[in-house]
Amino acid sequence: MIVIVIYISFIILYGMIKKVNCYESFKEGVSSNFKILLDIFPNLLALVFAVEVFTNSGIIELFNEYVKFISIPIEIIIQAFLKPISSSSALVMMLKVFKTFGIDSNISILSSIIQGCSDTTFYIVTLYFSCVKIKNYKYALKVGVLTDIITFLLVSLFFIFFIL
Amino acid sequence: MNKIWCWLLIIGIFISLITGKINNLGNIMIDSSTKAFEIFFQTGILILFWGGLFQIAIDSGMVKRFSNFLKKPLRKIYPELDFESKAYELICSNMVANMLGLGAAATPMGIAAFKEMAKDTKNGIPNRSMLTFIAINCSSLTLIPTTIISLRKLNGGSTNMNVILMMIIATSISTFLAIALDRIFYRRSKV
Repeated sequence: MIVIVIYISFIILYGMIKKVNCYESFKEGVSSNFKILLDIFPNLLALVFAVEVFTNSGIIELFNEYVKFISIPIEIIIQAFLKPISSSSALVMMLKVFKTFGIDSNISILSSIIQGCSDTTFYIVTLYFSCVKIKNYKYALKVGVLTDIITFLLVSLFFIFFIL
Repeated sequence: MNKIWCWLLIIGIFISLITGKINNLGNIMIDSSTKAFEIFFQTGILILFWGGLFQIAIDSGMVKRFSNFLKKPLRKIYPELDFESKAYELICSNMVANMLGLGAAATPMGIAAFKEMAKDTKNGIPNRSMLTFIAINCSSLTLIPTTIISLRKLNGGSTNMNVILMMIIATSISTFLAIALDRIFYRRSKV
């Protein structure tokens, strides 16, 4: 946690040196993020509903039989699959993994890394291109998805061979 | 998105029919909104808190300062872009914001940069810099994964230096891969 303390102190000290009204800036940042939050909530509600129904249907037990040999639980695979599509639903999966396997277990660490190492590819591509009204994505989606897949494979292989 | 949402639900209901968990499904459906609110509360508070802190970083010029360091190395990644242009500056700021873990605050900068780059497109075909920019943004460049660290903390876990290091290595790999793949696809599309 010391990293966080250093990081936060650095930001505030830098602001003080530059004579910024830190208090006002902080408040402004909070209120501008409030609007973003209101956009997130409907999304989150819909996705938590779908992901909960999906993951509690017994599909995890069903597939865990088949994927036992790779020692990575199906939850992680579902999370990695959801991550490029929707960050919130992958987040739901990550919190589920935290609960099932214990937060400090290696599986949970792997889950955190997967959550952090890539972004919501489909969302980003559609958002940015719709802002400039371009419909031809060329190879943008291919590059994004391939990057996600290869990174996921590399990270999980690393975990399978060295940590799990 | 619509398709994925519906399919998740349909497959979920169908499988619970087979596995006999259908009786429990009603509970899960109703509990899910409470759960959504819990998650929203947990992550929402984080977004607000970090959003406030990052506003200080933006207002104090810290982001601008760091983006100047990036200018030179980025030249190789965006060979087609004018070094002095506004788009270039915005790209650097967006990258720094992403690196610092700003996430939500980085997106407006990114969109501004993207619009700037889109000015010299023809016939609705994105140019090379735009595609590179998207590739890098999709791969996520977070060097200080503030949200994940805080989320782990809130759930009663700890994040030691090793884990942070692993996260940094993983995002670096993904960004490197994105740049490499972008190059490969660019070469292929030219031939």
